Amino acid sequence: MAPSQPSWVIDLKGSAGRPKAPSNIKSSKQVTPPTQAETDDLKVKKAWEIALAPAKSLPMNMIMMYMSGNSLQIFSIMMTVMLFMNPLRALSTVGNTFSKFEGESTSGRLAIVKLAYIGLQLLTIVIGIWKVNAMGLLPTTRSDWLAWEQAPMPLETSISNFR
Amino acid sequence: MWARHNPLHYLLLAGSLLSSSCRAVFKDEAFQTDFHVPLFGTGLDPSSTFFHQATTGKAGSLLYTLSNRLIIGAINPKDGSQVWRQQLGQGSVSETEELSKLAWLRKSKDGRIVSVFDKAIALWDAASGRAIWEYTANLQVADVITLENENLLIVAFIGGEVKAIGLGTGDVVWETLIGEGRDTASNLNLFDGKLYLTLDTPAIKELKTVIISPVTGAQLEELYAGVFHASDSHVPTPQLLPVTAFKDAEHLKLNFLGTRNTKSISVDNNVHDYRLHAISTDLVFIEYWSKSAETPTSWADIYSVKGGVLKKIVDLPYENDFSVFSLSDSGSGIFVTRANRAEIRVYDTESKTPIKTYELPKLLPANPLHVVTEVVKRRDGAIAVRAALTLADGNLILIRNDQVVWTRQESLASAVAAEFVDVHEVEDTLEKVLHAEESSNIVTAYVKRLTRHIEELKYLPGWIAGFQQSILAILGQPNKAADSAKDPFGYRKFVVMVTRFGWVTAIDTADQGQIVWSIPLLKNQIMEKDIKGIFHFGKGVVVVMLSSGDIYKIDAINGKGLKKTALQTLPSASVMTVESKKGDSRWLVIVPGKEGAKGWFWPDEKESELELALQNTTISRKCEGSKGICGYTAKPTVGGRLILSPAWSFRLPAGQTIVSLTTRPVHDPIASIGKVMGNRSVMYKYINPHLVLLITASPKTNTLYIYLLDSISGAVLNTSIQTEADTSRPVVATMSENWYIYSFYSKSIAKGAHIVVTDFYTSQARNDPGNLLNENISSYNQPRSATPYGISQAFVFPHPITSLATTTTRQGITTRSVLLFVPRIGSLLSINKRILEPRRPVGRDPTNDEKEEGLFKYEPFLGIDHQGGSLSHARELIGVSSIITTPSLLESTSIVVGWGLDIFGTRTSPSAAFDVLGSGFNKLALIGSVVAVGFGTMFLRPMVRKKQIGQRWSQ
Repeated sequence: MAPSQPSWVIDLKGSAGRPKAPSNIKSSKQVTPPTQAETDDLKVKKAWEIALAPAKSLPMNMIMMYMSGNSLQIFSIMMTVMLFMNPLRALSTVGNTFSKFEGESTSGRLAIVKLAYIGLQLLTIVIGIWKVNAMGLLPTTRSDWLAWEQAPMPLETSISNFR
Repeated sequence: MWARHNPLHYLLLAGSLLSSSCRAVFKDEAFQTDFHVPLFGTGLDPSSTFFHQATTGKAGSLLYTLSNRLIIGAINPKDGSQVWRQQLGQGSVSETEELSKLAWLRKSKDGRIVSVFDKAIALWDAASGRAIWEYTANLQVADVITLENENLLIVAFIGGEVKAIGLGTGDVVWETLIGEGRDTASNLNLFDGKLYLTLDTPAIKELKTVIISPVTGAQLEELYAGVFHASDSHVPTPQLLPVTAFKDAEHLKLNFLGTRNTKSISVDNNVHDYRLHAISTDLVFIEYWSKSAETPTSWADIYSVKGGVLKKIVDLPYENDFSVFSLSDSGSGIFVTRANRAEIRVYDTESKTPIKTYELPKLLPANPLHVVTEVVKRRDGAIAVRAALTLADGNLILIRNDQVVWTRQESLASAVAAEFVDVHEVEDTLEKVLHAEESSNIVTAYVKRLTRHIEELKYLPGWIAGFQQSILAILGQPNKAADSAKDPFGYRKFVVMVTRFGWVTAIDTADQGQIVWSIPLLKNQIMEKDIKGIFHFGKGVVVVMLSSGDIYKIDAINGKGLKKTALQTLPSASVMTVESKKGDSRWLVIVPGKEGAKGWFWPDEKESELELALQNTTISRKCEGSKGICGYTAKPTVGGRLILSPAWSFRLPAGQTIVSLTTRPVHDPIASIGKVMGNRSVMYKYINPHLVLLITASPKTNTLYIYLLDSISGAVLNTSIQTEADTSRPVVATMSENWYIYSFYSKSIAKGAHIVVTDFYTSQARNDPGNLLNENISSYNQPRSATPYGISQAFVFPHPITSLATTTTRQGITTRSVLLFVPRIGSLLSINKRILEPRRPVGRDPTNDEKEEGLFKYEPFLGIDHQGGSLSHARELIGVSSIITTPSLLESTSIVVGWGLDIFGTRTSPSAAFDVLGSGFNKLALIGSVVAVGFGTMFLRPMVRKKQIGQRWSQ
């Protein structure tokens, strides 16, 4: 028993000779691949988005750092460490991050994007430094260097007995 | 770094401050790590040491004594333990040989004893040592006697006044004045129910005897007996005799009381001295001896004094030996005991041959000074003797028949100088070996090291044994002896002391103050002025120098005398030690008292090395006649002499006398040269190793002057004054790092003891080191701008302080504690320097920055923290006049020894014991849990692995 085909299959097979929809005829003329310039624009735009992403997290970081207090506790220490680790990691992979937007024509325009990205990452680090300073971990005061200061041996010696 | 603005931390800080001060001594360490040698001192006079029944009717007697340090008390003769003791005269022991004429102890009735010191009479309960009453007169006491029937104590004062004090009440029952107050009363005798007072009448040079009615005090009769010479002096006579004794150079004169009948006994020459004993009314026993140490002699006579006739009964033989005598009444007869270094002989009163001789198994360490005995004659005729001997080395021993039962180291109560000696410094050669290896080339260094390691193999068995022991110690009770022998933390120090009796003694701080060794200096008596000092010469060697110029070099570890020499120095010379800059030689430098004279150095060797050591060195001492401080530079020359040239002098203004002179301790490391403020700026400490703190008093104006001098240039760095001070009371001071503390007694509105602390900084400004950090800064090159900036604060303390000291640790990181001895409460206290901080805010609460720095509000009254501040905790100390400290190998811990009368030693951790586990730490639990976890891992690992493999296969 020959399998009977559903009607939509028969319709589909039989539709090859049918004229195309008018709209299709019109658009078929305009379908052209985007120009190089357009792609570049797009890439750069995308790149900007990535580059500016850290700026969005800056306020959040600042608030978090402010809220976590200046005491040396495991959470504030971990958060501060993350504040350094993430930008540093990002900085070491700048090339990778933007490699998909890299092209002969975009490389020039991407440079500024990368710079912006690096700048923002550095800004995050600055927040970290501010935080570390607030925690009193930066040797910025005289007392931080006191341990290395030694009074020189006196030139003279004195001996006495007052009995 | 403390976080800021967190209130919790202030709480924590306050808590840590409180808790650190709450634990001066841990409960489980008290009586373990500290030691206390309670002492009486050496028996002063044979008549003031006696056996006496504490409670009438009860068998067994106690040994009572009055010492040269004015301590009275009772000793249990069975084991030599202290039953009780009391101090006479508030610790004002003047060092004098005449003390025995001022103070004595007598039996009284009803188990009571009476003590006399100068103007004070006190009656004590013999069993408990409680004072029953005390009576202080305006005049010095000449004699006292107890009238048992009348229940009175008759006291004769030196001017002829006689008072009768009721024994029960302490009230004066009657009083009378004999003569016009110009006579000198000497002796009270009770005979035939009448009281005889003998007086010297200087106007007519006669002996006056007055008979007084004991009941009313009426003068019954007065008579002058015989002519005495001006040179005659009174000899203390036993009170129950009917005679009184006087002596001139050649005679001992016995006057029968109430008569003109005087008998003379000729005494051959002036090298002899004698002493009268009596135990019954009809026998007088006269003991003679020669004072000379080279030709000691002794003998004794017994006379009967019945009916106005003096008759010699027995003379105990003359011997070229130092022996002492004692009389005792056993109830079955009177016995004489003669004791010398080798034996104890018992005589009766009838023959000159001893009825019993006990030979001691070993010669006593020194000649006896005096002896008291109890002789018992048993029913079978056997003689048993118990003798308490005071020896010439100052110690008290008890001999039962021929056995030394116990020895009390009473000589330590008469120490005149003390010095720490580190037991480990002789072993400390490894560092030098390593340095030697560093300086040689690789091959020889390698060979040296290899041979050293091979040599060290011989210690391996010992090390293994020690290791075993320490393992065993973890499991069971720690082995104390082994611990102190190993001494990993350097707690074991010897304190070498020179006593007034001319002995040098070392005690072990890690062994409860036990005597390690004791050697004589072959000097009979050394007063405080006779000793120049005890000097530490490195490698466990000490040098004792006396005013006579005798120098004794002693190996302090085993107590062997190494060398004895004598220099022809003047007694007024000042002595100090100089250390070589190259090797480890040391010299004594002796600066004569007279200015402009040449000095000495000893040993007379390595002159060029000494010259180098004395370059850029200033020697300072008190000027001639204590009129100031003088500084000299010195240059050695031939024959062990020193050419001294004056460098500077600080002369006291008229009317001022030196009351205290303090320098920084020899070992006084400063770990941090600045003090960190709350805002993390730095105030730099004024660091100068040459500081001298001089305190002078002007009694006329009741003012104390405090000078801080630089002992190189003689420059005055800081001065201050204290008005309304009681200059008659002791002023004590201590100095360390960049601060000094002194204590005096103020007569101002804030009457009482004051403690004043002054800290010095380079400048008032923060972060300004001045010229502290500059290289090559000389004491001579100190501009006006370099004068230290001092901050001072005073505290009121409840009791007077008689000695002050500061703890010292190995590296000076630990906070210092100030140690003070308070005689009124008998405690050695410790106050943390953080409390004695002049920067504490006055009159307001501290700011946040100040809180962070650990400052808290200033309170003028510094109370005694009995719970946490007392190093001596429950112990009762008497007469600590000097506190010495030395570091241990642990940074947290300082070793403290107080001496003077009692010896007290302890270890203290001013910043808590941060580098050592407490004795409560459970090592067993720690090791147990590690082992358990180890075993657990061993069992679980194969199981887990098996399971993991199984899981992989089943996938």
